[in-house]
Amino acid sequence: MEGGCNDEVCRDGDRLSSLPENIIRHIFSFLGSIDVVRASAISRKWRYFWVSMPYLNFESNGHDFGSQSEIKFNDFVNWVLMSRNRLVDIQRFRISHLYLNENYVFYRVMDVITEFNLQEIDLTIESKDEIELPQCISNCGSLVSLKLHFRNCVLKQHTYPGFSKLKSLELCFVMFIDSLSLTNFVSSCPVLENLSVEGCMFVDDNIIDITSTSLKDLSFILPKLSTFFKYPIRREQAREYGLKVACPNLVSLKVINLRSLEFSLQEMNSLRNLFLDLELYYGPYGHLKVEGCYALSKMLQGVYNLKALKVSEAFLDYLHQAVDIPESFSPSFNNLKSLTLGIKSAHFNKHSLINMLDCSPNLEALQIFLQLSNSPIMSKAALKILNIPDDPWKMPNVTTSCLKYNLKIVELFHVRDDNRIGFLLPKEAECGCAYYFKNGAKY
Amino acid sequence: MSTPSVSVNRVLKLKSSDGEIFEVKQTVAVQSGVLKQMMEDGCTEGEIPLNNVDSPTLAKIIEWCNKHHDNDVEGRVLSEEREKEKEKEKAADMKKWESEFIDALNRDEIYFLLTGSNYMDIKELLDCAAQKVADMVKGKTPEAIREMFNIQSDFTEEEEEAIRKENQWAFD
Repeated sequence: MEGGCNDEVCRDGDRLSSLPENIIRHIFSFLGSIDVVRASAISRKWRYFWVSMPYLNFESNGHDFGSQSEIKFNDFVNWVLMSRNRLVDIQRFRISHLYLNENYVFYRVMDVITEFNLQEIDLTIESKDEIELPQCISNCGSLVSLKLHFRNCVLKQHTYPGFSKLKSLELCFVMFIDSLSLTNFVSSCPVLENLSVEGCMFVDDNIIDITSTSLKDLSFILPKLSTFFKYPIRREQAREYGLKVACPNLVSLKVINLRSLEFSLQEMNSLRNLFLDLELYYGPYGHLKVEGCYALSKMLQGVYNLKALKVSEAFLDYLHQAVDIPESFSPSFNNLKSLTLGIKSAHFNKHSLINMLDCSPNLEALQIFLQLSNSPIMSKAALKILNIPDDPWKMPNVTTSCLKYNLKIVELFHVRDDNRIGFLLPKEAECGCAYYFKNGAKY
Repeated sequence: MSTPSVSVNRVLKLKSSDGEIFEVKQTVAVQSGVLKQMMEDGCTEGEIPLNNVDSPTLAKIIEWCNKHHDNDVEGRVLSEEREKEKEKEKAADMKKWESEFIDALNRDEIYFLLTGSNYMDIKELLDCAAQKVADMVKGKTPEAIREMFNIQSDFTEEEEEAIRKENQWAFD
């Protein structure tokens, strides 16, 4: 195509640059700030987009403390903030891996960004020293969402009130000096609706108290036993956090890896969805500790408005014990529509399952995830046990009412044998309930 | 229905910039912020001229909207947990369909889709097309981007050198 360019190519060339600025900005919002800055060298049209982007997204590619690239990365962040058009708000500020040799780098960045009507902060930080959330963050009246992802560092006791608009708080692997710090943090946020606490550790006190009238959605994922923390928590301490939740407007609650027997849910009238992943806790003689049964039974009586319940196998075992203490067990789940069970062995407690079904007359969907050991031999053996025709356990003749009237769907995940559903639904032909077998889905 | 003027069986007549008429169900058309507003204002009688959207692009946009509409009405309400599970499956299928849809387009078509969905205010489609262009740009040097999109640099050598120096970290 000598003598000038072909029409097609020329028009094509104009295309991207001739997009309206709002669309170009929209495209840039899907990119890291480094790509946006780099685009400034394409042509004049692209020269200054980077100074007025409402989304800032810094991602470093992993380096060591004090390294050359760490210093350069911090310089880059500062440069972009310094050069910024002061009339354009920052909607979202995300930085992944701010390695702090000196915390003042962090405080300086926070000082700057909170001057731009900042709405969302998403920070991943690694530091040698304890980190304190600066007052400029809690005072930032525009802040709606705060995510803190720490790497082996401690968040100092947070003392300022504020967070007047904060609706969503997400804390990942943050270490707290004591659980009171978290309690105070939460109660300093007057309109907080979503709280997610994942893998966080507490140095001294082990009852975590979450009290909030505004909270609607709470997710509490405790660290796994195997999680290794360098500082300053001893491993044995990391085992048993208790949990006390008092949130009258809570709709969804998720608690994973709860090992302690000390848990209590108060004022749970509005709770609709509960996902409770308990670990078994055995006493010295290999029996389930009775405190756990009491705690569970007490808790279940408070959550009578549940619509969806998802529990681990340990729940059934505790429940079984709790049923033996009749004066303490009388829950009823008239609104429960969906029950999901994660089962680790084929010997799971079917009595408890039936008890649950008995308490849930309006149940519509039952899901059972069989999480047998990964080795095929184990799972075959387990299934074989399920298959034994003279299984001592039999479905009582009196059918529970939910099985008779309302249950519409039973889904069994990772259960390969069709006959196994028989124990659950001896009269499935009558009750018109559909059941499915699925593989590969995750609990 | 939140908007009483929208009825299931009624259709809108959309006229592309090159004069072709497309018929779209009202329930599908609500995905466009502009058409939704027009329906609420009750001014959708006759042909609706879309002067910034040509017929091949409008056909693509309607294909997208029909697909996303079908996805919405499928399935029935049972329980929240089960709904969520179903939604996840559907979302995965939809993601696959979306990436096939967008990958099959050439650069011109993506350009027109960007301006068209922006004009008609169809957020999901705009996001999808913008994400596609972002993926093409991501991690590339300015030279590579210029070449890919046939952009002519209008900087002098000195200017370009200065820009690179100024933002050195980004160019290392």
